[in-house]
Amino acid sequence: MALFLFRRLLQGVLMILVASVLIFVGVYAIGDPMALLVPPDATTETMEAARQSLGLDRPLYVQYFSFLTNALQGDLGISFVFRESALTVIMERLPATLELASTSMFLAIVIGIPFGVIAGMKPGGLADRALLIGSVLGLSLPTFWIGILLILFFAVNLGILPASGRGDTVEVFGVALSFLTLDGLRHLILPAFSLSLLPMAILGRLTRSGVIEAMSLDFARFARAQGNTRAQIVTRYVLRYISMPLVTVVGIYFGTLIAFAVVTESVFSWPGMGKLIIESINQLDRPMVVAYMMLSIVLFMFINLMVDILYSLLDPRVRLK
Amino acid sequence: MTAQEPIVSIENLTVEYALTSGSFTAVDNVTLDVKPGEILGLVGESGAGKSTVGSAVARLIDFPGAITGGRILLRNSGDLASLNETQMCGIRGSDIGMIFQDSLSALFPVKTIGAQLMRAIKLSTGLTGSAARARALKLLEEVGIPQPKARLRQYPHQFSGGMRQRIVIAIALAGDPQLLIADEPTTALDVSIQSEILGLLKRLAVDHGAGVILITHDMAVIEEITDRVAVMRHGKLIEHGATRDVLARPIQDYTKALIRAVPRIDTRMERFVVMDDAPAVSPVTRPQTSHIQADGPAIDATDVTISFMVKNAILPRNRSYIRAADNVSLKVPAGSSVGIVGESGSGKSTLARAVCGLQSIDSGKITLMGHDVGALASDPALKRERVKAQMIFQDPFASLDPRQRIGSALIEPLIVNKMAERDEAQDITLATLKRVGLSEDDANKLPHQFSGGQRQRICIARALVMDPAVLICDEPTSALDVSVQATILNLLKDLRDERNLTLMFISHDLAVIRQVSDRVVVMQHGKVCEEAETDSLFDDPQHEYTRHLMKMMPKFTSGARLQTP
Repeated sequence: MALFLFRRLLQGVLMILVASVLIFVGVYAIGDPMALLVPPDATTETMEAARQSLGLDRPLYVQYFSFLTNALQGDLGISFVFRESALTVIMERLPATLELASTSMFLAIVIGIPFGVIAGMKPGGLADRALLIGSVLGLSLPTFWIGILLILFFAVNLGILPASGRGDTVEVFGVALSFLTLDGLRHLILPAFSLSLLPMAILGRLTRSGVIEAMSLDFARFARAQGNTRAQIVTRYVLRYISMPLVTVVGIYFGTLIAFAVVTESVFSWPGMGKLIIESINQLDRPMVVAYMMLSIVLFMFINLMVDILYSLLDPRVRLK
Repeated sequence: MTAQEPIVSIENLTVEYALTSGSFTAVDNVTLDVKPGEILGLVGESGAGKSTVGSAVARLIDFPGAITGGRILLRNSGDLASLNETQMCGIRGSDIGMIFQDSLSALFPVKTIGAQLMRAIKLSTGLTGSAARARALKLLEEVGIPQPKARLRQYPHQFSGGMRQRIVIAIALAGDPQLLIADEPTTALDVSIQSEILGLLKRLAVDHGAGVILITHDMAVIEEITDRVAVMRHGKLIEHGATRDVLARPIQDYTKALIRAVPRIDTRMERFVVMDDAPAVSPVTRPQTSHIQADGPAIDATDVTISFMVKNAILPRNRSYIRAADNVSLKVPAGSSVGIVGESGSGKSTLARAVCGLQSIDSGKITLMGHDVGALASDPALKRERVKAQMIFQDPFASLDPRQRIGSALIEPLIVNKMAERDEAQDITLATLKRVGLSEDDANKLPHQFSGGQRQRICIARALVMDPAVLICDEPTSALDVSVQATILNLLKDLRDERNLTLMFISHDLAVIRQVSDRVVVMQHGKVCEEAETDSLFDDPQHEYTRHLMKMMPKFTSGARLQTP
């Protein structure tokens, strides 16, 4: 376990280094931020002065190393647009995105997995057919379209839920959360539901096929021979057995929800990271984009590590090495 | 045990499986009973319906199968066939205990065996907490698990196969059932462990006064521990009576044939008598030019050592290795056959893979027909020599691509190795298929359209098309029924004579080894214990381990009296 963690952390650091080079060089290739930063009527001298003050006249590798040195000290640069630390700006928006993604994942798990279990226990039954058809819709309908439909129906036609924004928030340890207030919950429910449909469909299908497969395995037969009922076999054995692939998918999709909640955040004007990054890209706010991408990579790495550790807790046969 | 009321009486049991058109009768009008303390053997080949009888008694037949006729009268419980699922949940575990073949897949991999055992105890007796724990410890002791306290906290994969099967038995005994159904309980185990498990079953039957239904394909197991035997075929009960009588004086032809097909450890037979409806081996059609043998051995292994890392660590001294082959030396003269025998983990398969060049060796040297195997693997100029050794594997289901037609599977190696043009390869393939007892039409079929024995024939044909000098067979008949095993062994014998093949035959089964090899090598823990001429090894084993193996092996002697039909 110690060897495993050591290796994974080392790999992670290497990965982040490589990614930082790619991101830095890649972002450097997009446009000239000067045009955005100085007034259009600025003289060449003013532009040069600004360039020098921002350090943009130095060779690429020098810029990279000064970026790296600063990054190691927790400084990912000053946003051109907001004129404050890029990391601070992102961190202000991060809780909103994390809250949206977590709520979506929570909905996907508590709806998708039980549905999959019920469907898998009786293949070909009503629940099974409903799941198979419903999941195709969940997988194929575009999120933004579902989002707009939800707004039209619940906010415009029925008028029972708000269409945009985050609503009232409560500060918990300095982090603003909306799911603790009724108004916040009302704002959260539509975007979270629309974002949860894709992982819900996938988890449902995965659970269904896992249950069908596991019920025919020897351990399930042996458990029945001991006098367990079918329901007991599912809750005591099968769910535990299929938890590994489920954890993998939850891990992958959680990362994806955080990093690509852009569309849903835009549709529902949710003040999260996704909306922020779209704006930053439009305005060529390089430090913001770089900081955002670095943060995403660290997040993904962290989630993957969590999944691997969960693996070893769920299955004693997995020896982390 | 004359006037005792039977524990279970099966009357006219019929089990049918619904098919898209009509139905398939898996068990046809079977009547049997089991008395307390008695072991009833159910024997038959695959598809005989013997396992279905076992499942039917515990009402574990699921859709599309169903019990369509007959009664299953369990002592004090009435007709099981008329109970519903909820009522059956109370019977299973408490009155009927079941033991399955594969203990690794029967036990739940991610829970400790203590948790699994205590769950079974809770279900069948209602005991919980420390009372359940005490009973779990007692059960583990009874089935012979040392240090039961510490073992309770371990997971199934931390036990050996034999220990796991003991745990499965302990779980089956949790509710002190009156009936035990054991479905091939020792098939996956080594002989010495098989002998222990069979002894345990016998003792438990007597101690608990329980009836045991023992389902097996192995005549030797039947002879060893059953009191009565029922022979099944195609779902029907063929013959039924006291084990001694049935084995000594079988009435039905099928029973006679089944008994004759069992390879015997006490003598070497020139050919097996094959069952009437088993596919006959076609006579020699195309005598092959035998290989011009170089002088010296076909296989020559000197001081071969192979190790696998079992535990990795940052510090080299914390790493641990297992020696699959430890200074093994072996010479196989061209045209002879050597049998390698040993229990699981003895390194016999690893050695075979190394001879083929499929496994790299740490030290030592292996030459094949005079060429170094390491060089054969890397030197493109020696490509033609490399294919002179061909391998046949244990599982004919796993060693064929399920989506590749047989013809294509056989032609492929010829084309890949540029040994023939497509037309020529086609001819060779068809001729070889005929030689192994299949027809030309079979080239267009897919693997799932064949039985296990036919698939093993295909695997043999696939090795033969390469015109090998050395044929390495890794447990080629372990997954097959005895009658099929007999035909495959006959085929291998014929091919060997016909093509002057050098045969390396790996098996855990001493009786099979005796039938096919000139010399026998006994391996244990990666080391060669004994090497001798076959007859002298069997008649006068020198090494202690060889003697131990022979003692443990269930001896099937009934066949001796039936050899001349």
